[in-house]
Amino acid sequence: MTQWHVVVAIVAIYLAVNLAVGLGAGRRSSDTVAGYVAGDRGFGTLVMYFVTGATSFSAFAFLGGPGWSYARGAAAFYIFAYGVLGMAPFFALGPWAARVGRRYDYLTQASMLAHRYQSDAVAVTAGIVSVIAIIPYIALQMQGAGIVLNQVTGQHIPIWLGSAVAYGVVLVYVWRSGVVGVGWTNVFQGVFMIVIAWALGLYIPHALYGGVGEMFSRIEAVRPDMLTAPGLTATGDPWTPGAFSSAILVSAIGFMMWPHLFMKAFAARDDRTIRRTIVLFPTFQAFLLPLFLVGFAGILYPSAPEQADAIMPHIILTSGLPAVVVGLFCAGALAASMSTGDALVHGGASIAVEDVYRRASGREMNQYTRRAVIRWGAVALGVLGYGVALLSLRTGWSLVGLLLMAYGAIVQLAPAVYLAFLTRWTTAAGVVSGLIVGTVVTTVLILNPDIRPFGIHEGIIGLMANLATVVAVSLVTRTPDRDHVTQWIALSRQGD
Amino acid sequence: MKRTVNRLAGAFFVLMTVSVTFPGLTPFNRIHPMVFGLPFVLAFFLGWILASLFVFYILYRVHSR
Repeated sequence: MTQWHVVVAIVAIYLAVNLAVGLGAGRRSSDTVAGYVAGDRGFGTLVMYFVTGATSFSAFAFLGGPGWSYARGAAAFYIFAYGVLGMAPFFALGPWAARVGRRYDYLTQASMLAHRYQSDAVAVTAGIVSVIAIIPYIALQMQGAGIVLNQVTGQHIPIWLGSAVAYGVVLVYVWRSGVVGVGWTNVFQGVFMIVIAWALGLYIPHALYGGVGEMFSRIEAVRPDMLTAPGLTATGDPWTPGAFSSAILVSAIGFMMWPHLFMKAFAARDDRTIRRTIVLFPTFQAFLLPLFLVGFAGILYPSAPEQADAIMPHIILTSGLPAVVVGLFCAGALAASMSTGDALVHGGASIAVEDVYRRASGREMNQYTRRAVIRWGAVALGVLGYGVALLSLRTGWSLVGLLLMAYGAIVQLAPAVYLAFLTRWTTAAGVVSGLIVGTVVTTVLILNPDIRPFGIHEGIIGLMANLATVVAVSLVTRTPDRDHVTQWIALSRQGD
Repeated sequence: MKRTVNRLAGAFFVLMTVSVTFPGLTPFNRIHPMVFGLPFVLAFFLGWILASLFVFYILYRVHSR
């Protein structure tokens, strides 16, 4: 067997285990829509820990983390700071959302907002923004899976085939098992990601340079500018302190606003489970450190990959590691991609059906029809994401650019979510217009980056415009039922 | 008790936000002294993550009584 045969064999075993875990998990939930979308609100700490960790760190972190520290040095540290900061507010927000969710049967973030603000328009707007943001994110995960498989097999597996096989597996277990399939495969995938990252991240600096300290001392001698913040831009110029700082802030604010992450609050068994997950989250996040070390190891490496994000596979393929290790690395990268991609496909389909289709069409549907439509929605999103992924490879569009726009839009959900729990005066008209103004301002600034003051992240400026709009419009409009809002907020605080 | 701990935790995360962004990061944005072989600023970020584990744990203990 040549090297690429070994790699393909390991990846095949990895995918088969995924499929078995994902399909087997389906027996753990009821066949209701609450079972399919929120796992009958029965996720324990183990599953919640891995769902949160493995979902939030995608192929973008696994391959892009090393890519950033390799090409941009300390700029990568921003990724290190925002996870914990983004998770912290959820210590209060998570249980608040879960309590109203249990009482009123919410399955998604947008359905929660719609009920709180007494307006279908809120659900439809938030739902559309969410689904549009999710599509490039899915496409990016699919590309990541295809590209890694293509690289480690010496181009023997074409990108379209690698993406199709990995995401074929994802769609099968999402179809059969819904969120429970996502949850239990994420346990398996999360363990894989953490073990591979730590093993390679500690081994590579040691094997190449004799240790982490030695490696950094040698980098300091040639490129000291890579070792202090804010590091460099993608083109190698110094990054600005304003851009570094605002990237941390906007990512922290947006982190838990991603609907596929937020809605896991409705899947948790109880408040304690949510809080325990948050306590343990930093231990998952620490796996970024070894990934950064691999990227730093690339700075002194004698050869360079074509693209910065390929630095990790490049080192692994050219440093004489055994084929088994190459195969395990590939499975780790696929795990990072699939653990995010499955939650996106599942979450996106749930939102598209529950918040947009049902409300906009006004159709009454029973449990089983809803579940069936969500399943077909997941397949449709998978196919759509796959089409976008292939199209962007063919035309050369940047999906990362699209994802940045998506992130800019998702951050705009923050005022609607926070103000729902913190104020009584915010109105539906306020949050809808804020969401639209914030998204438009962010998009305009992404397309015209030179008009941003001090290089500040477009999402922050959009957020300020959003907040100002929410406040102004809420002051001139009225909440239809103040008692509902008072009760709703009181219920969210019960047991604090 | 709960209120005090909530406030202290809130203060911790505000302090973290200020010190991992500019200008708060400036005094810690250096390579030496290296900590466990890591540049000081990287160890500083890692230190906040480990400290937050501890703060989350205290919060959890206080809230699950």
